[in-house]
Amino acid sequence: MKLEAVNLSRRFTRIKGDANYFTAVSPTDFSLKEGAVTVLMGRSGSGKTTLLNMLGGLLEPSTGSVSVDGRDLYAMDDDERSRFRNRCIGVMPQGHSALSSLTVLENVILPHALYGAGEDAEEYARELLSRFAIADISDVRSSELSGGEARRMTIARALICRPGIILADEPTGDLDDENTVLVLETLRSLADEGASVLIVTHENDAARFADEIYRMDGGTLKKI
Amino acid sequence: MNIRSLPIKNLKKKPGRTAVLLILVIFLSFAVFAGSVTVSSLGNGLSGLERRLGADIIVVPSSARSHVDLEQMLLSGTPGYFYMDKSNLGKVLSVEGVEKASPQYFMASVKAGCCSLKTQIIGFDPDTDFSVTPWISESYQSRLETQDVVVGSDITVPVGGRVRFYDVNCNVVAKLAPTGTGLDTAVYANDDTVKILMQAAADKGMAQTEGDPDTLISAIYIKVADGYDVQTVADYINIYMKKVEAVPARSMLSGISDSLSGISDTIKLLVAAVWILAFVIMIIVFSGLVNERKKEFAVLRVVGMSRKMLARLILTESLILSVIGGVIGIALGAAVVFPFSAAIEARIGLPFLTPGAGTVILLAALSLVAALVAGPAASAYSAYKLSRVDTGVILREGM
Repeated sequence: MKLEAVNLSRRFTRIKGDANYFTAVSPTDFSLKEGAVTVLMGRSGSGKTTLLNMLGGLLEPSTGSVSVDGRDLYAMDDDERSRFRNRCIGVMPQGHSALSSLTVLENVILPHALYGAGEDAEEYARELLSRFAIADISDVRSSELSGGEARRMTIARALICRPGIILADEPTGDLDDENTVLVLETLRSLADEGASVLIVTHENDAARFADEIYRMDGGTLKKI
Repeated sequence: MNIRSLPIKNLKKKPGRTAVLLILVIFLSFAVFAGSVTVSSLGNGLSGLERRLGADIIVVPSSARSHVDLEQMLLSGTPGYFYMDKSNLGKVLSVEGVEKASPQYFMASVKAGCCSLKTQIIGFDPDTDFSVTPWISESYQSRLETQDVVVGSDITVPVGGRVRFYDVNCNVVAKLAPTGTGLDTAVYANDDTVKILMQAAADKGMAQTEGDPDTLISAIYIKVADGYDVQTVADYINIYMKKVEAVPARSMLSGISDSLSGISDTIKLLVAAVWILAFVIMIIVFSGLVNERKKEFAVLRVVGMSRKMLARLILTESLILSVIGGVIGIALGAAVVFPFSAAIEARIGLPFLTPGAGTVILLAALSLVAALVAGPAASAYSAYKLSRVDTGVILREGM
């Protein structure tokens, strides 16, 4: 799947009701290519996550548009966009994003269960858990996971619906070297299978898995 | 993994949080159910009393008030007696506007070896009576024979048993439906039986009157003909008949009615206050919870849950709490109000007659609706507020 952003920008209000804005992402054009890994680097607060959220249909842009295979994400209503994201875009948010009321396996199946039968996805979910070496804790409540385990679970969850686009925000943040390589290799292999992958990271290691590298600085995107 | 199970899993995961919300709903539905049953019981008690009285005017000897508390005796069955000459009945019947008039005879049994229990004995004339007979006919259709008695619901002697007054044995042929008043402890018999008892009391030196029982009556119950004003008829009797007092039944009930109305209003106000208070607390709690769970909800949005689905999840959780809390609250309300209705009646000193099964089911259903409305309505604002926030804004704040 091909993702394209045109003239995309986002401003935030600093003080509610006041005209005091700051620009998190300056107007920019951006695209994710099918079968490619794009790495987006930059300092904290540079606007990387804001850009990723807009690309994932999670944050209404101030200007511009985001389209996937020609379909404008923000022209869709919330129901349609949510369902579209569920099927086509795998988002891995930053930090611990497991639902504490569910087990690891249930967390991974959750996206599939939203619009279909969760049971159908169980086999693939177990396969993903094995792939990320967390199969033995599939019945453990996600609140009991370590940072690394939770991160791997998040990656498995993002892949459960076999999305064509994968947006990973600091996917290796809590991982040791071994797991960092495992995750990056997995994302690389998904791209090799045809997915469009965006990795937002601080890790310089990610660069060697990338087809394209961008840097974000003060809301301005530059291709390296 | 079924998405429908998510609300239950969320509630189970946080037992403390769930318990707090559950207690609020229980409190709310308990108050609504117990309060509404109490108000309904008070109203029921008053209507029962009105029905039981069955007369528009009651004529008593003018000296009666100085001997007994008339209202207490007639409405609450407090044992007491007074007598007047039977000729008054004929005079009353000749008053314009009087459609029916029937005498009643009062006597009190005593707490002594000759009597099974101390109670009020009310005699009536089966040929002319229109106030007691309809009530008795609900539980006993045959004519009362001499020494047959019908007892109030609170008298423990079973039907078929015997009670003894002044060493005269009487057969209990029926038990009356409860009125929620002290009349439930009274005993009813025909005029012949009462005269026998009066004579027996006199023979034991415990006469309640010096006169001949055959020439005495205690009160005259009057039904006013259609088109005539009750107060005007009563005024006429008071002006033109000597040594008697005609009391409109409604004025006798007005004191009770006023107290009952005051208590009912207070209960209604309390129920409304509890509902509003619990509702406001629930809004605050839900608002706090939604804030606390903002990141959890953001994750659900990330994986593809729409705003509508998210709102449905929050509302379903509150609905589950409302159903469980509502049912428990109603059950607790029933456990408090029904077994203790006699104690409540004694405490507030007003007729208290718990409504029938149909009304109770209706009140339970309405109380459940009040709980079902409160929970989801309290969470609706939070759900709406949350659905307006861009998920990206929450994610930007960091997970």
